[in-house]
Amino acid sequence: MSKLSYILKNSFQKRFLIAAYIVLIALTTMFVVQQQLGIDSIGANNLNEPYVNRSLYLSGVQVTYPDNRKESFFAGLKLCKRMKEMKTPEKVSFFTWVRYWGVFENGRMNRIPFRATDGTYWDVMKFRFVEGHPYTEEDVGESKPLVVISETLRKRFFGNETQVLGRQIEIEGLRLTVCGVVKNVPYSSAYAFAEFWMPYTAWGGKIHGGSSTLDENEVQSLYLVQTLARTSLDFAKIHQEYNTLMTGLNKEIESEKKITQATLSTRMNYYFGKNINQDKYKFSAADILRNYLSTLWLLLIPLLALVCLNFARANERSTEMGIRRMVGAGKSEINSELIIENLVVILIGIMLGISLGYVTVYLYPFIFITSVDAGNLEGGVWLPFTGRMLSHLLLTIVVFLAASVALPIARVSHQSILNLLKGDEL
Amino acid sequence: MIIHILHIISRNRATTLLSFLLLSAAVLVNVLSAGGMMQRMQYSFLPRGYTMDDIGILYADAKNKDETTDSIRNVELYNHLKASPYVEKVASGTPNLIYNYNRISLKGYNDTIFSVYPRGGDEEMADLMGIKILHGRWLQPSDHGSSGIVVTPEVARLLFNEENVTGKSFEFQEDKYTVIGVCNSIRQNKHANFSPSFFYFEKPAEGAFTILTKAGKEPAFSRSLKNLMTSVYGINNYTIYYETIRYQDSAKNHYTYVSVFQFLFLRLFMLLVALLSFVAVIWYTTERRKQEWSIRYAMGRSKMQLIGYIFFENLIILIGAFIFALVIFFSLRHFNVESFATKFTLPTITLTALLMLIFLLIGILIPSHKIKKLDVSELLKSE
Repeated sequence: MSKLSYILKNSFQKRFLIAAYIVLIALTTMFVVQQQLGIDSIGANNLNEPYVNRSLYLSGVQVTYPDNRKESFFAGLKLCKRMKEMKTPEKVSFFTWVRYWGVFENGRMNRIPFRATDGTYWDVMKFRFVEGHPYTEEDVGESKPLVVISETLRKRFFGNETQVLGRQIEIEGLRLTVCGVVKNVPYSSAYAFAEFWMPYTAWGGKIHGGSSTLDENEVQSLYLVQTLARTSLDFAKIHQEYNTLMTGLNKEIESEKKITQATLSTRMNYYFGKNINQDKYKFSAADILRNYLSTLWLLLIPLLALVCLNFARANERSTEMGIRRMVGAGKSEINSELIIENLVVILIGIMLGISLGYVTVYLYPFIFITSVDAGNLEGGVWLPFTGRMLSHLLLTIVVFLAASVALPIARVSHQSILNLLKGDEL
Repeated sequence: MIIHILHIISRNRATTLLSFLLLSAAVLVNVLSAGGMMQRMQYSFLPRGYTMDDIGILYADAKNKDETTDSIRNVELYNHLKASPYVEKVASGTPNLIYNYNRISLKGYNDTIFSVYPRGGDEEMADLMGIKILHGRWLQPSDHGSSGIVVTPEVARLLFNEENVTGKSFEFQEDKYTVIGVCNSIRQNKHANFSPSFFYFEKPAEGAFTILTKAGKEPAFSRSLKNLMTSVYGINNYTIYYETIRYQDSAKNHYTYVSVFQFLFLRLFMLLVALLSFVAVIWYTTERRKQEWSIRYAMGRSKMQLIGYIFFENLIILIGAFIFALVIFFSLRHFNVESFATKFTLPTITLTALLMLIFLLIGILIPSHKIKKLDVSELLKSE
């Protein structure tokens, strides 16, 4: 106990320097956390999207015309419906990327996010219903004009009323009946975020859409497709079935155009993977390595700075170490003190950095999470703490600890007591 | 002196090597950051090819669709807009600028496919937006029927490999278009280079308008829009989108500035860390060598000579680090690593060299100050 208090006293003897170390480590950790949160907010499961880790998504479709013109867009109904017939996935759902209903208020435009979906959407996502229930696949098939709204939208239409099931709302000429009210969805739930959801058949592209959204012959339109696997081990089988489907579809439409790129991929791979092609459907080992290298790149200069500063500081204390060695302190005793001293400082810095990272991303999600242009932040942000985050933080601790103590320990161990007492460079 | 400095450096091998690595990393970060920044901001300060002040974009439509009356109502709205006391000029059509990225693909003279921004407009549009005609003439109502268009020089060159292409024609989706004029180049927004564009005649019946409001009257105009729309389409029987180009531009810039801020914040932090650490290392090293300075001073060296020693010792490390960092930079660039492919290599390296020199001057500031206050008797006593 007395030894620990001695180490702590020693650690905080040079307060300004220690404060500078802590700030340096905290800010660097903050950048690591921000970077990892940006990745995990899209690539990991979240509050409203509990199956991201066992889903493959179709997020873009490129077609090439006979005259070599290329067009990139989202999936069309023809492709979506073919994918819904796939056998290997547990479920297949399609829905629009977040769209906006523009409301002109007080001389300015206000954008309210919404999605048009199929009925399976509610099975591949998770919403907390405060009233009613979602629309079903049958409701969608019958083009029932139903809508699920968020608490924020309920307030916009009905003020403080809480029982609004069965009531009608009118959006750009569409009269929709409220069948459910959900808790606000965080902006960070990339494919769930919206303020109202309606059957794509009822929508028909009438609000911020287009006629192609109901065209059964279109392979390109405004839809994303999510295929939910029973386990992530089924990805290869799903991908194989999908490729067969695409080959067949291309044969059908070859006289007009050809689908040249429509990668079914994990979300992590789609957003952060490199060299994505038709056959690369998940994060590769090279992508994972690149992810760790990007963390190491963030740590590079702070790490070198720590090595420099700690070595200079150890040099300054070489006489002290010499005297302690002379009066009987062993190398391992001095080394363990050095490690504990630095570990205390690093852990304080890391904890501070984690807090700073989470707070900054929570307050300014637009800067760090690039998935959705949300328009507003009524739903707040939900930030995950994943195994990947933990491993990157452990890497940060190990790198900082090694940077802080490795060189002084190695040099002190090789120096004679006389050299240490002389105060030369270690 | 050089031999002496090299001797000192070799005596402090570990410290020198660490400073060398730290500075190399700082040089590399700076070259990449400055290059990235220049690349992102390269078009920001160049002319756009149009004016934005007091210009708003309006899309209007009836909620309850009736094809026979909708176009009549849109024309009525156009007339109401023209008669508005807040409005200077109105053009039908919108120029598809800032964050509206509607594009079509055309086939060029050498069979390459390129993207073009189609921009709507009428006879007022060029005047309203300050667009200049370089060859031929601007749009007239008769061009609607004859598919006459005005192109920018980029489109002219890509389609016909020359700039003055007035009177020439091309086909797109089985329709024939004739170029009736060439206008100045247009930037989609301030973060993009001049992009191939053409203007086609758009009638008021389409319900899209570009409006130039009188100076300072835009807020009053936007507030009056609701009444204007109601009088044309009926109560709550319309959809509307209205924003000024300036507002759209600031929203677009907001995203760009946020990403630039994020990019810069991290790199500035790294540079600052490198700078402070470098300064601290020089400081520590100088403190440790106080007795050496005192002896040299006592033996007749001037204070300026001592400061010169510190300066040149660190300059040698800096030059070495600079060369080492550039070797790494060009090696990685040679292997086509994405981030190293900046267009602005020479300005970036020059800027970095200047910055590193400032690093060094700041680094020796505190030791120089201490040497200037040198008191031999005190220093000789120091541990």
